[in-house]
Amino acid sequence: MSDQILTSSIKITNLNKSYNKKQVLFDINLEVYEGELFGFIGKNGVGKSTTIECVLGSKLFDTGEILVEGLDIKEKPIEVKKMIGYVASEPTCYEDMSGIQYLQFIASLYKVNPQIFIKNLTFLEKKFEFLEEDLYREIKEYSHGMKQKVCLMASLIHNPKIWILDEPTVGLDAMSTNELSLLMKDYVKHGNTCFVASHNIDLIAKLCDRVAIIKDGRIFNIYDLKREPSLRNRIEKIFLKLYEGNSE
Amino acid sequence: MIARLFIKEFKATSFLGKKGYKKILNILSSIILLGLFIALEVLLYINIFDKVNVYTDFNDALFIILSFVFFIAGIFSLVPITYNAFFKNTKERIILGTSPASTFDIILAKGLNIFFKALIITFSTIFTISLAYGIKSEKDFVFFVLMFFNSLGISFLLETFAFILVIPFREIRKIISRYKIVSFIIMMIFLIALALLYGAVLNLFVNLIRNDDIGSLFTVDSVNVLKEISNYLWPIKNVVELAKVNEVNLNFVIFFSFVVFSYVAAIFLFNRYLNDYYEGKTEFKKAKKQHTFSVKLTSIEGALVRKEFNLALSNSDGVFSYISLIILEPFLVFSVISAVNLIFHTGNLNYISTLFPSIFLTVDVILIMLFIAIINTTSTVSLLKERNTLLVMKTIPVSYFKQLLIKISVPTILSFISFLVSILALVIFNEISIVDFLFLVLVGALVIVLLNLVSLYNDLKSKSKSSLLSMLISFVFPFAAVALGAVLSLLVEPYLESVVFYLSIIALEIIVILLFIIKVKERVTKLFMKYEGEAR
Repeated sequence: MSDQILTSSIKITNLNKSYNKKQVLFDINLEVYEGELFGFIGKNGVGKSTTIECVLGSKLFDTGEILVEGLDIKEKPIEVKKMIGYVASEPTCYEDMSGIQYLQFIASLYKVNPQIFIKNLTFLEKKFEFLEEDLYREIKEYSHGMKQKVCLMASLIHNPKIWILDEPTVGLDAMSTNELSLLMKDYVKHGNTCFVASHNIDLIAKLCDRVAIIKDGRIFNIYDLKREPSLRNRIEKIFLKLYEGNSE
Repeated sequence: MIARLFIKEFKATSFLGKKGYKKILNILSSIILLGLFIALEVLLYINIFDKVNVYTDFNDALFIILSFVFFIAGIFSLVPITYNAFFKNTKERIILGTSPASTFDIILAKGLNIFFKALIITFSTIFTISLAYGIKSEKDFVFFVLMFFNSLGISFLLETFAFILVIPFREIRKIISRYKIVSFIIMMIFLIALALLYGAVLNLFVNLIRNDDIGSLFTVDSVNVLKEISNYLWPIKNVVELAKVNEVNLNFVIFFSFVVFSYVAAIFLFNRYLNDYYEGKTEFKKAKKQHTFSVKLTSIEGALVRKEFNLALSNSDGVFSYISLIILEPFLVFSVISAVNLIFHTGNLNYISTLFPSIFLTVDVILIMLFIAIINTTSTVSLLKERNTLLVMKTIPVSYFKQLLIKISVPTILSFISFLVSILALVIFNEISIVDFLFLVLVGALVIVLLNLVSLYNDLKSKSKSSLLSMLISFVFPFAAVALGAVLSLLVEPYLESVVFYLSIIALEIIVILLFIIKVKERVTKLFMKYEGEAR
């Protein structure tokens, strides 16, 4: 990474966020670069999803600044959202729609060209091994894994520049998880940015270029796994030690 | 196991859902209300029995017919209750289906809860009529005791029928739900029948008020027909005969043996079906359909409007509360307004309306506004329906203001269409003048917009729909606006009265709407970002 000219894709500066009087994020500083696969790990309830939702512009924050591709989320929320594809930790979609209706709904909102829609849909169907006949069933009839697959497909249907995933492997089988890993790798190869929050440390360690560990609303450390590949084997230990109270 | 399941079921009912002193208050207020309701019913029935006394032996027939009507109504209301208890929560199938509880345990636990509801139905209807009948016919104390036990037996019968009929009810529901158009047509037929029934009851009521005489309702021929019909109304006819004997005889034992036998048989039948349901045997195997792929991408607005219609129509509760009220509105408005107009042209009220011609116009406008308010406050497509998809709303690249505007535009349009049909019917049947119609279009449209804005604002503030603001706008505002119109219309020449009346209401509506738009627009982004709904 260091040999290249790094262009910031997501830049979070001194982010502070409270719910009522309880502060949940403390001076978060993060910079994710273009073409980077960035991992974000931490226990449940330490602020991973809140940080992500602040980046997405779906949550207000107290102080700080979030720039996405140089645009301030507070000033240009619509332009920022157009560049992002987001997958929530739980399948989040209109379950009374069929799979195809939901994908068309999302594509319409992002003003996707019909030809590009067909091309992307064909690609994603194949990648996620999604049968065409299943696309015509109502989402509420899907299994948890299938719902998650539709949400993953919807997040990519508009060719976003930044892909943000919050616990994307929950409910996915081993094959689909593997396919998703390959897709994330492939995605960043094209100069896009991928920001993934997960409990699956093994997946993060194998995949990501850099990893940030968050604890109690604070960034504990950021590890460059690309520069120090040996860290890939140690990141789980570091993580566990941190949460046991002995930070490395 | 049964006790635990029963406690779970009992706690799930809203009746005991509250805690601490609220629970006691809830129980007390429910008992007092039920007591008052029963007392009122007894008085009403005594009055009716008193009036039909002019026809020989008609009291007995009327007692049987009314009780039978309530018996059938009881079955019809208990079947959906039973359906909801066993089949509505599909997740329960997984939880209970894999738990060590047997289906018998589940049926008994849920059945006891349903039986309490059957008891409430029977004792607030059939037993109440028997009290009035007994008092009027000067029956012995034994009659009341026997009717008490018979009412218990009827409650068991109600549940027996509910257990049996819930099976075809679910099967038909499954078939209907596969074809939206069929379910819509059936719902329409059901609603029209309901509206016609409502109209008939209202006519009966108006006739009674106008004539103060039951003679206008029954002829000697119709009384004889009703007497004949009452002889065939099983089991109510038999139950009444048992009580009239004033002793516990063999027939009484046979009746209760039949009740117990049929109840046990129904439970066995239902147990078999429930077992199949928990094992997934009762589900349809869907035939694979051939789909021709065609890309249907629309504009942002088109996609959002379609989504809103989908949200409004997809949920079955939504269909039967929101859409049903929207469809029923024209029937209800027409029935009530024409009845009120009829009353205002009868007897003493006719004299008052001759002195103050605008009085019934004032009442009409208040009623129309209240109808709109009731239908909108119970039915607006709110943010609550979004649940966890709020996150989708918050992350798509469309401004929150535009999304929320589209969200309220759908119920606004639907309500307006329904309202327009209502007042078109009134003008076609000469209940209101063309001038009234034109002004009412505007008055109604503005009220609908205002109510939807208030509903949205309430949702964003995460307040319940029964909040003070909602109450004020829905129920106090119509009176205030009409009162203002009425007072101002008194200050002008008679030929200008109705114009000033309507214009002042419209002006007040516009002012309140503008105030709301300014208030909501300023804060909509912040409020919506803070809004978490029920999802978290």
